[in-house]
Amino acid sequence: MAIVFGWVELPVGRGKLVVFSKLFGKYRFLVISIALFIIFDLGVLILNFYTSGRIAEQTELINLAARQSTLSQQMSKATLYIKSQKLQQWVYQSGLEELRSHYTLFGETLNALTHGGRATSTETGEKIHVDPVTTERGRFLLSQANQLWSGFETAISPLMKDTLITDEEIKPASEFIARNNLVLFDLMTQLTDHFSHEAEAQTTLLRRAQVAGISLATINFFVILFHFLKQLRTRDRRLELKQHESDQLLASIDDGVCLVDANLRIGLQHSGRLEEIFGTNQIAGRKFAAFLNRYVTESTARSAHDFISLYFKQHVSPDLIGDLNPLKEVKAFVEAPSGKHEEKFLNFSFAPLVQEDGETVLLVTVQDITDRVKLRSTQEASETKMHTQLALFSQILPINPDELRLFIDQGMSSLAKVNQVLKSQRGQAQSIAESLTQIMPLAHRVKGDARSIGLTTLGEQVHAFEEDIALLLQRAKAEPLSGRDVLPLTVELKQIIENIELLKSLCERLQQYGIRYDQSVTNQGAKALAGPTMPPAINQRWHGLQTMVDEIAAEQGVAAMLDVRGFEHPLPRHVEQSLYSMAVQLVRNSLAHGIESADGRRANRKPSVGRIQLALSDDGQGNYRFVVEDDGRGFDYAAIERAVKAQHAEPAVDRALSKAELLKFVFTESFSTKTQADATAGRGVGLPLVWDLAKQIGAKVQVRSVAKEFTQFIFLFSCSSQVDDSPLNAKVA
Amino acid sequence: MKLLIVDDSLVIRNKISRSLLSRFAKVERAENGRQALESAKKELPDLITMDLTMPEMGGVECIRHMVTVAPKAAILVVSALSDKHTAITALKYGANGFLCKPFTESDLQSAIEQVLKVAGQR
Amino acid sequence: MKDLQHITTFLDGVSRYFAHVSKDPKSLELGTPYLVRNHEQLGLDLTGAIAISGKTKGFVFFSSSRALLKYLLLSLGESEFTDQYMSDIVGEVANTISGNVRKTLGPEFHISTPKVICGHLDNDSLKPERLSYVLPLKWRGNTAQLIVSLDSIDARE
Repeated sequence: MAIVFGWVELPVGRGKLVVFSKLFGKYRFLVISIALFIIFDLGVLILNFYTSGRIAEQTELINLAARQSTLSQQMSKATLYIKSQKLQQWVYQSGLEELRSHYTLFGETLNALTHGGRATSTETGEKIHVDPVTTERGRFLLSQANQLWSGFETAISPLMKDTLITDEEIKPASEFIARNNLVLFDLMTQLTDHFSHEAEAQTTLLRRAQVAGISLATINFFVILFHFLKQLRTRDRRLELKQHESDQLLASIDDGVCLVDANLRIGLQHSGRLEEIFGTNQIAGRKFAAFLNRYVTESTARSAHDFISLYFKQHVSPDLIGDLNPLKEVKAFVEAPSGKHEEKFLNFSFAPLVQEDGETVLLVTVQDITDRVKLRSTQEASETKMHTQLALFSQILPINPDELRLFIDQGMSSLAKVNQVLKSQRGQAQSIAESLTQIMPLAHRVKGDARSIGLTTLGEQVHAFEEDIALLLQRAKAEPLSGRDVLPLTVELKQIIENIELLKSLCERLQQYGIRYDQSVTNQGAKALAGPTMPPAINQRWHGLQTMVDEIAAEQGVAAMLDVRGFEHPLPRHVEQSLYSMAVQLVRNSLAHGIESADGRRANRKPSVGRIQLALSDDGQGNYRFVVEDDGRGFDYAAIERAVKAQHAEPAVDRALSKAELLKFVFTESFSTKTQADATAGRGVGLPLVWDLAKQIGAKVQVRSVAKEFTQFIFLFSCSSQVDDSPLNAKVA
Repeated sequence: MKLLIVDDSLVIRNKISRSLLSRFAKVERAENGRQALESAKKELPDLITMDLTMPEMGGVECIRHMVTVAPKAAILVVSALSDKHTAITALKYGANGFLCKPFTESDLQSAIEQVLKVAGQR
Repeated sequence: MKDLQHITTFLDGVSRYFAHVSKDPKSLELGTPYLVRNHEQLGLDLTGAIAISGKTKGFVFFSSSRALLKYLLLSLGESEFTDQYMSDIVGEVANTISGNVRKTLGPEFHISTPKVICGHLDNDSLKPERLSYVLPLKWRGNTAQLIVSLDSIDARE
């Protein structure tokens, strides 16, 4: 191996060397194995070629040696022939010629075999070159033969000169030949045998070499095969592992990550987070801009396309374009699995990477920064919250401290109930809607009470809370609600509670500063608050309702006077609070539905300012009569019937409904003749709330109404009376 | 090395030329794209700093012509970030880099190094 | 509505953890969130507590029943349910929450490493009259709670 390397490395230049060493580095085994395979095969081939040449030569040698044996015999025969012919005086010329030619041929061949040189081929008769015999035995036989042959030469050479020979010439030759011919023959035969053996050895060698070469090549072939199969398998496994690793890596990255190539196409792999961010798994292989187009505005997508193509332009410095990134904090609309479009803020960043092959790819990182952006904006919003608190503060100053205290107590207990409803919820989607329905009137009461004493900011806050509940209830019709949907309500609830607590602590602080804000929070006042009956100052709170009337009247574009009678005597506290909340709801109701505009009133020949009366009277035996009355347009039964029928499709109500039935709907079902809810009315919660409160104090409810003239709600109760569920008693004058 | 400053604001022209005076043998100034092209034809600057919004001929238009008038010049767009897309277009047409106004002297110096480097590689 | 955002972030942290463990994004159910006074008894059997300081101060507790922790350990392939293991796992969930907070709410949120509390929460470090959020959780029928007690800067002072 080292030899192969040395050979390859030395002659090449530095650049090529790198290429070679790279080639060898990776395919070293393959190259060496193939080289060996070729060497083995070539070796066998060369050996084959060489040996077959040698075998041809050897065959020639065998033939030559065999001819020498024949020649030695023929020379002896020719000599004998010449001798006998001569004895009988016959012509011996042909024998002589034969002897001469045999002699020359033998001598030439022997010489060629001994010293190398030309000889006459046995087959073609042409002159061929013969190498001197080098084997030990060959040389030994040849030297014996040469020794003997020198005797032959001495004996035969006199016969070579003339065409006529004398007996003196033939006789010693003939005797010498007869004496030595057999030895010469034997030597030549041995030589022939020796050559034959040599040839055989050569053939065996060749065969062995062939077998060895082919075997080596075959072994080599299998080694290559196994080695590469193994390597392929390891490489496959490693590739699989690598793929798995990169998959895992991409899955665990917290940001959306993908690559974009020079054709501005997204690469085949990306992080799992990217799919989460865009809510799709159809990302790989898509054109970046076309993909983006679904989520951002068209102009942004176009800008993004132009921008990222800059990273692939040779003339642009990638370090100097970061500021132009049009996808910094970009707003995107992503379709959530539910099919809704969700607004997200995304941050794209780009980094060009130069790959091994010199190509540039762009590493795109996408972060979902929605939470961060929203947090920033809520932090800005929290500053406005400070103003809310200031407003809250300024609003409590004109409020009678007892009213405020009552409101705080009442409000906190309602909100505690709201929380209790949430807490006892078991999480079934259906019951979430039911819970919300339970919460609604509780919130409504807090809103009404807040507004009644002039806590408009708090009232707005509760109104927003109610509004959100209504939206959820609307949604509950289409899809089941989850705990997550309720979470914003809980957060709002906490804020409302905290604001009421803030009111409380504000009152306390004002006292600490010695501000004569709260005259009645003396020991007596505190006792009265805790005691079973309402303090005398409560009377003021009823008269204070005029403020609320003015505010709501202004909102509704009407004018009204509130007339409050009674309330001189103390009442059990829970009764007073219920009556108050009922009054608040009914007054709001009057202003929203009853009292007409100044024009409307003039047309009906009424005073331009409407009148709302709250009156409480008793018979001295504990039987009370509470009347809430307005001189407005009266119940619009037709409108109520339309609203009822719009909500109830079932045949049970597919007939003319009696007024009592209609009133029952008004008091027990949440619906409103108003099509648009505002802070005062429209949710259809007010009257059911009144109904509930009336039930709590055990009051009988009567409603009297004359169209265009008045509406009167009468509540009859005794202070010891129990909860009464008797049917509604509607009297229509 | 020759520098051409293209900006309609005198303050910016002065600021850039003050910052880069030591690095360039000759500094030319132009108030709009048209002037810039005339100056570039004569002087063949090595570096051009280019504002985008200018009267008569804006930066994008100017850069489109500049690549034929002075093909070897490195171009650095120096502009406010009011319209990213215009700046992107300027780079598409051949500018080599973008520097956002306002900038410090060292911002400018390093941006100049960058654009000269990429322009030199072309 | 900063509270809402913070709570959502904590909740997402927990949900993600349980989604990861049970390979089902909806496995963790949230009941209706409600409020508690801090002087009330808070928490279930074991609780992982994270203290938050910085602009927003307070605590986030992941409080769990033993039953839930046992199931959690089971699905993680554990078969030992000693207090040591339960503490470990409850701390692990709390850790996930703090990780999610760091990532989404950024560095202005300083978060302590979770502390594990056995039994009811020690509410000494909480202002007794303040309200905390309780997010009732249910995982494979077992209960847990995410209790968020944030004293946001703009609340009372």
